[in-house]
Amino acid sequence: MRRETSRVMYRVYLRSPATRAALAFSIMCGGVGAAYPRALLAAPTVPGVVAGCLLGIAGAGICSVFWGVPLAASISSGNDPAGPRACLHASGISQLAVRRSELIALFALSGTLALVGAAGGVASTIVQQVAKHRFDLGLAQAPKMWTLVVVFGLLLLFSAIGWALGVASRRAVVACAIYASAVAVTVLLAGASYFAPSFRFAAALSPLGVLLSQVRDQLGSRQFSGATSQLLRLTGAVGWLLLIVFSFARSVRNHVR
Amino acid sequence: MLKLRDLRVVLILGFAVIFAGNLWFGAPFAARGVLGTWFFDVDGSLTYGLGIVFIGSAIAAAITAKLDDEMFAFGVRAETLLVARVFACCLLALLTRPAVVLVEFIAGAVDSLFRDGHVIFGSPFPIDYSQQTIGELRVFGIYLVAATMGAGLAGALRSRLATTLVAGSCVVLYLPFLGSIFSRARAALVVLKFVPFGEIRAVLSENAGLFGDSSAYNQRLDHWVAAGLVSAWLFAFIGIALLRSAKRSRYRHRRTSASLPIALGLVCAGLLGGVLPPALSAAVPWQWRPAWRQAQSQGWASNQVATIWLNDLREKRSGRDKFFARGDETSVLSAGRLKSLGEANSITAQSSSLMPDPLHVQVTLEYRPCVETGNICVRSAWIALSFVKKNSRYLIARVDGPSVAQAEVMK
Repeated sequence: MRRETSRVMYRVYLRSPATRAALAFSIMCGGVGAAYPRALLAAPTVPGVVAGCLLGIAGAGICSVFWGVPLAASISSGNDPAGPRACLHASGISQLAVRRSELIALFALSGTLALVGAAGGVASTIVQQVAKHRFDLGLAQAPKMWTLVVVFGLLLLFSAIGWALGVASRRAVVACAIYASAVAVTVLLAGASYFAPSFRFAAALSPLGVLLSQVRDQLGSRQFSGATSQLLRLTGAVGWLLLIVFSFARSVRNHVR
Repeated sequence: MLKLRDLRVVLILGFAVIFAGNLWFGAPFAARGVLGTWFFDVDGSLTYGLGIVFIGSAIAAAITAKLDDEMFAFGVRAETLLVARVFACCLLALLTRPAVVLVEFIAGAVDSLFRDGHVIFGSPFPIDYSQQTIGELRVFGIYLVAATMGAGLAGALRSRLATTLVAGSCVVLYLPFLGSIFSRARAALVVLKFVPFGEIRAVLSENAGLFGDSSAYNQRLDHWVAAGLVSAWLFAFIGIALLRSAKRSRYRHRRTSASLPIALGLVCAGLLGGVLPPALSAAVPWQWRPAWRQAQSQGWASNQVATIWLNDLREKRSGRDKFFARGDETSVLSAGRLKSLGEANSITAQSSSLMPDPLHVQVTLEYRPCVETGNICVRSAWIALSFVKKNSRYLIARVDGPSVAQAEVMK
């Protein structure tokens, strides 16, 4: 029954205007992903077609930081009395079970959109190969398998954050505004830590600080070199996660009544 | 329109950013005062204030477009509805400008209170009020154009989500922190010229790029060219809006198809594949290039070679000639210099982010206790190593120094 409910919701979400917009965006992100090795790493060789496909998936997945949360929030915040959630609830399925199925459907939807990024990756790769008069079907410039695993983990994370924010705030625009503010605050604080190193502690406590702290070690730039303790990062992550979970639980309790 | 909750969210967020921007990031060294903040806050007026009007008008127009079907049923024409919506958005713009100025006043007062202990009403710098009045009128005018453009965009896209995404993206491209990204890819700045939001700003300032008090990311665009481009966008948006309104009034129920977004995505992905690599690859920092990353992963990057060689020298290990381009350590360094380098207690080679290029590394040597030479006691010294690249390995070609970095005069 749970599987059927999730499947129905997945099909409905697939046809929503928000998903259509995310579809175009994730294909474009796939295109950027396949252009990444030559554009941002100055790699001498053009990616192969299979590599382009994998790079497209990785690109769409990494860019889910932009589309994953707004998509999940816009779907989960909807309160349409004729929508799938209301219909399933009216047919006797509990509110919690409906919400759980909704989350599973959103995970599947995000995964599908990341896989669709492969099409963008292939299109971008073929254009690059035509421009270089070089044809290769292989795995040149392909990302590591571990990268793809991390990317799918990020997808699930951003879908879950968007879902919880959408459910808790009940309005897509509010959820997206909260998320955009969190991203902006993290970026501003990380940038400000160049001038005032103590800002790095605040940056580590901001919602995306945990992710950014992993990235900044890779960047090796002086701007991001201020180290913060693992404990501080974990405290920030747990604090924000608890806030979202409590808001969601409160929202569900109100709905159930 | 002001009762729309989404619009209120945009307004509150925008005003908060203007307030915070003036409070902490506006004037790093001195308070600008109440009037000074109003006079000098270019980002607040143009990036954020204009952004609020553009996004706010677009969202408000997109939400109220829901009423079109009912209006059509009463016989109201599509042109009349569009004009009414543009008028409402212009009213919103006329209200937003005084609100932005008020927020700047408050931010200036609070900022001066925190920094100097009292509110500075004037400005530490002279203000030309005739110039400011003309500037203010032009800003009002440009806010009206932005509101019209926002309403036109909403009418053309006919989707609240798409309108929010497009208007939001246009404004986000101009946020000051993106300057660090554009500095890596100057070619991407050219794209800003063709973003409607940037052209609106260029009508006022002849600059369609990122700009502010200290920005170097300019894209010059003549007033008249910018005005022409803005007019072209306006005509296109309003034309599409009228066409789609007419269609919508006849066919009220339509299904969204997946083929259009897929086709659009594929065309854009192909274009990105064709445009991005040639446009950006020349601007890639050397630390990100394959030659450096390959050498680094194999332990043969120049700063790694410098560290390993000096550690081997300190611990008197053999086989150090492999680090040198000529295959011989003594061809580069005399025995006396080698001895002085080997006496160092700790060695710190520059990190790649501080190196000027992959072929030059500066190393700091620390001596504990200090080493006596003449009448000074050396605590730390620098050496500069020059490298050549052979078969994906960086090998030492020349060593300059050591030169004294920190020393004490002996009594």
